Amino acid sequence: MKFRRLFALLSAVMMSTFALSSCGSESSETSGNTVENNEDPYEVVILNLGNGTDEALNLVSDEMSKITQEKLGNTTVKVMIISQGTYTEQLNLMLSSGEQVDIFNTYNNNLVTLKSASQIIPIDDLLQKYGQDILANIPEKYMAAGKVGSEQYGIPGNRGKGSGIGFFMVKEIADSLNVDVSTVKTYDDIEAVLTKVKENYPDMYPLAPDVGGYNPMPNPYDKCYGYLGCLVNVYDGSTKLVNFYETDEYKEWTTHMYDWMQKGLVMPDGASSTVTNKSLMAAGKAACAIRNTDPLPAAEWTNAVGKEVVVSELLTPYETYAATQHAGWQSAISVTSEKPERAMQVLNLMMTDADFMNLLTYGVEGVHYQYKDKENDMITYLDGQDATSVEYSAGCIGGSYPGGLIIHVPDGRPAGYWDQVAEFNANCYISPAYGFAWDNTAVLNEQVACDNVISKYDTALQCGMLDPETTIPEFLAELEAAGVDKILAEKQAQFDAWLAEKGE
Amino acid sequence: MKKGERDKKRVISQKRFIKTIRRYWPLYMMFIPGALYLFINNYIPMAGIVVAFKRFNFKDGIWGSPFIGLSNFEFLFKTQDAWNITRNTLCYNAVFIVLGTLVSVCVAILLGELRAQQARKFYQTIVLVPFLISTVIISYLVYGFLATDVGFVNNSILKVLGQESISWYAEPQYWPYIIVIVYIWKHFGYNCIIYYATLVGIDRGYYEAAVIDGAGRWQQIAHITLPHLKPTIITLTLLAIGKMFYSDFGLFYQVPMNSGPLFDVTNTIDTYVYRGLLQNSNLGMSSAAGFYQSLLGFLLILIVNTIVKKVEKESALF
Repeated sequence: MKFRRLFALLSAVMMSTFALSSCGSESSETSGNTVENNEDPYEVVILNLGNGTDEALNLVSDEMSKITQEKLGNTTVKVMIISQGTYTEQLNLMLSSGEQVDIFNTYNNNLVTLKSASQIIPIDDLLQKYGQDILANIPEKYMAAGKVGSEQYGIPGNRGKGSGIGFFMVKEIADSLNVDVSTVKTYDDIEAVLTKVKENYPDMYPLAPDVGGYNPMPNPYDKCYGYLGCLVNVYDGSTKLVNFYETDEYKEWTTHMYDWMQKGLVMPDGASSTVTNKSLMAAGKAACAIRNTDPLPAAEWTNAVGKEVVVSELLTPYETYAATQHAGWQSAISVTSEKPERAMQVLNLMMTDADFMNLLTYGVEGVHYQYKDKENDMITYLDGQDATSVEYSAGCIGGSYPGGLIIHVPDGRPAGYWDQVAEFNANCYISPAYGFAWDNTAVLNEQVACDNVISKYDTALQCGMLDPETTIPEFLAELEAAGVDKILAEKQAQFDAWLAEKGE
Repeated sequence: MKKGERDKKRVISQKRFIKTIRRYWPLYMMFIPGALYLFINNYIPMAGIVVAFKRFNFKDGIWGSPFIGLSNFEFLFKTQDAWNITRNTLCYNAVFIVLGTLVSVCVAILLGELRAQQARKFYQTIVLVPFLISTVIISYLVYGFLATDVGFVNNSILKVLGQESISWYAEPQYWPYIIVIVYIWKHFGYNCIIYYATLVGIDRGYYEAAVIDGAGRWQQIAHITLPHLKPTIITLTLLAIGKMFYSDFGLFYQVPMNSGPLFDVTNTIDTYVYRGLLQNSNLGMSSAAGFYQSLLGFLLILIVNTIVKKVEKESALF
């Protein structure tokens, strides 16, 4: 009896002890020697974001390998796929256990953090040797976003490189209320529309935030990896990093949200919402939304909602801008790559080989997708399939690899889509902080404390659940106590150093 | 003790050991897989504890990363929330232990008093159901009750009573009660079954003798059932105390829908670490938090067990 109890106790304690600790073996050393003509066979592992069955992954890998065998010699490809929700976690696990990964997408992680955790390797030499197509095709101003210090670590993807903030509205409702959405620009305009909706559609939420209460402030801000120390208006060219929550813009925005909540114009409990505002619109529960815009936002929303949606860009004088977060989603070579030079050869192939990129992004024609309009290179799902049932889909990340603009036009986008994306990119205002990333190791304790304070107040404020008049001072006091000033100082110092380096 | 005597004793104990092994070897064989499992799963990973003292990087791995002493632990204490999260974690757990035990024991006794076989089986199953429901689903059940515009409480209770509707997810004062109710609703069934199993094992003879002596139901419960349940209560309580620095993550994160205004009463060590490291993933710091929690839990168990041993030797764990 005694022994049994002791045993039970020990097992309980031990099990709980290591729930949070990780285990794994040492990661392998990277080899620096280069092989010119690829004598020995090597398999390049590409970690992709999306969903795919094992069968589909094998098929895609085989097809891609045919191309690499032919063009690079003795090189095969293995595609692995991880869904967005667990990507960072899985990536960390794979790298910490020393599992071979050659190419991966940085997703939402910042390059500096990846570099300081030694997850990625510098690629300047490799680019010079094997990446000429990349250097020739991606303009220097974008490549700069892949630098940490003076070294190149990432290759920026080719996709929509900026965004604006738009006011979205279901067209049917706008028409019935005689609202011309394109004229909606200011808070007052928005309020007038929302009030009309409330009067005429009492069963609908006039304005609904996105999942988790995401409700972006309609100002051209650049959050610079975490709102503490950000640029609140990139158009004025200032390089002084400020505390987002201290700005007049934030106060004004949250005051309007609170006011609208009191007037019943906003969905209640928005901060806990687990439904996208697109699906609320599709279900006829919401009429309007404020959300970031991508290239051709109206087409994208119309496609997702299943009803025609119209949009008005809220920012002036430039409708869209490229900020630090748009420099994310870069391709990087992992520290666990055994032959980084082969990884670079494959990345270089991605830049120019449309077949290779299409396989990686959409899978195999006739198995995972079919042509809708071959002449314009437009594709769609197979009959009877959709985004949820297709066996291979990495479409969301396609544009994040070097050859993002040479792939098929995905379902729901108009002909010539990629040209429009390129044009969109050319028209984006570029934030002074574009390409900046920072290392928060020195202030990590403060950062953790501040992140907790932020999650306590921010979403609720942006969803109109708290009165900014009384809450923002509390919020700022808690941030102060959590050490926000130290973070601001550290970040500003790194930013200034980065600016100085860039200026040279 | 003289040397000769000691040697003799050792020989005897060795002989006895061999004899026991011979006699019970099938039982020892059955013990091996479990022990192996425990060793591989729970003891070998213990080495990973070094991560808590290192600045972990992926290139050098677990063993090669540089030591940085205790600085991974700093973030747990260098915050104005340190007191708050520790208080929440400990107090909620204390309430869970006391109220949870009370409810479970009561229900177990009620189950034991049932005479109809069919009904007893039915209730036994019913009380376990909440325990089997995932916390995520529970959080939506709670949301069904508390949603501001469509929730049951605001729409069907407060409205009928002519009260103003309450924005539950923005008003922290109600949540200590909600959390406790949800926890007990979910967990009482499981412990109740353990108590009930002990209760069934009590010799009916005691009760018959008590009835002959003229004892009523209350007296039977107070003088026979409860004393028999005491060792089980102590064991389960001791085990729960070992986990006092942990909190049920789902209960404190999912059930309040991660709502910011409620943090003062719903933030625990686990949710704090999660929120802090979600954006700043740092293996060293999360390991440090896990190590801190288990170390304190282990110390607590040692202390409480010593006290139990002083008061009632029989019921102590070791």
